[in-house]
Amino acid sequence: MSDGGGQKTTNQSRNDEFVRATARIAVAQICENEGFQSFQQSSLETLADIAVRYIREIGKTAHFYASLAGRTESNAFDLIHGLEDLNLTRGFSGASDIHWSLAASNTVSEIRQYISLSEDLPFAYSLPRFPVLRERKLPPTFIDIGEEPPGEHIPAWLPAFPDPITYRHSACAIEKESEYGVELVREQRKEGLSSMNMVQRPEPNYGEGAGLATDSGVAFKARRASEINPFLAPPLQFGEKEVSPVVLPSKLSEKAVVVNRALAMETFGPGVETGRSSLFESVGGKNNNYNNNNISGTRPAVRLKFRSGRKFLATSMDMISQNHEVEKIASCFEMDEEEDEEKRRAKPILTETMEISRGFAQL
Amino acid sequence: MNHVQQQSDGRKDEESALTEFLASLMDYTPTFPDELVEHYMAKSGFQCPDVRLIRLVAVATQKFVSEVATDALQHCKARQSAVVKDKRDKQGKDKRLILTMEDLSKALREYGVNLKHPEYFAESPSTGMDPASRDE
Repeated sequence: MSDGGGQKTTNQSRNDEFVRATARIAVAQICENEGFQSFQQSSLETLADIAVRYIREIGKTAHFYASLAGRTESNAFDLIHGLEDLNLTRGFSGASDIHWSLAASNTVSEIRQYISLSEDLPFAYSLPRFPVLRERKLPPTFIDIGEEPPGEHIPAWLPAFPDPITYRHSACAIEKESEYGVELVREQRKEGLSSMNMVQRPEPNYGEGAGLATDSGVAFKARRASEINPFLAPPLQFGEKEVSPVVLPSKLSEKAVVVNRALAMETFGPGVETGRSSLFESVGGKNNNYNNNNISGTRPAVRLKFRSGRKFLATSMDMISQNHEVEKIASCFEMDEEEDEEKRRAKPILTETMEISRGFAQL
Repeated sequence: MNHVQQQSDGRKDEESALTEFLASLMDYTPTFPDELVEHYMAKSGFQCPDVRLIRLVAVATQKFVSEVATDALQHCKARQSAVVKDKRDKQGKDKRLILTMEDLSKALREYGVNLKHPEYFAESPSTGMDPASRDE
């Protein structure tokens, strides 16, 4: 019957646990007084929980009646009214009366009877006042410091802005910064507030004249950083440093490309697909981009090696696949005349090798 | 006129009785400590600087708990006497009075609190089943 476990953690649950334990002790004392010698743990916890809920219910109803009357502080009559509401299910003499006064309520008289009959049973331990309130160190306000807040829109009773030294970038400021950060971290640990996380580094965006100061500070820091680390140096502007000019090889001039392009068209003739022709056009158009790439004459020609028939067993499949790939690649790019001749030479040999391999496979 | 006067007198008496009673509360120390009650009352929004009202709540809760405990004790004793009646050779097998969930739930039912307690906790859904019908 305990609360949904695992929902509350940290300080809240610890506080709760302590209070519940005291309630359990009190309930156990009462039961012992009645005559019980021992308890089942679950039943004791349940009864303690019910007692706690009873207290909370009385408080809730008393608060409700006080608010109903337009008050924030409850008084005795609100309490008695709440008690009556709770005891209504059980019934008490005078519950059905139409004209009744809270002062003469029978609930109270029943309680009075109970007190007179029962003995005094004080709590076994002495409890401190809880929850224990820790003194929070508030940051000083503008009035405390005696400073004038920058700008009319900031009232003087607000906490003052931190020292500009704490957030401005300078050699001596770094030490102070770390101190400030450490202090904050300590405070955070003490109070366990996560809101402090947001306040760890104050933004240097407010304050008059702070903008200019930070700009110069940033530039100064950049310069300092470049002295240490060349990778962080600001980029060089055009013409700042003298560099040797780039010499283009003659073969990669526009003229050569056009000639080769015409040759390619002749060699392929009607066999060239329309798709490929568009590719060639694009190559011609993007002439400048291909300055560094090897095209036409500069690319090494493909050489095919043909070995004796015996070796075809081991390498026939590879050879065939290689030849197919070569054919594909050759068809995509511009080709020389000599490559074309080789291709023509290769074709009958290829067909031969395929037949041989098939023959061997059958065996 | 007389009737109204009587009424007002009656009210004064009642109120004076109430104040007397609240004063007497300070002499009596309830089992529930003031701090505990104050903590839970503050949680529900009850605001009052008067200590006597806190004491009143504490006493009311004490009365409630003791009534529940008395009822549970009666249930427990009734069960024990029933057991003893069956087997006379064993003299009051268990003289210890233990507050069990069963007695507590019976006692609380009259107060409008429905308490249901699972009888046992099983390791797996097939625990306690017939071995023949159990799926391996």
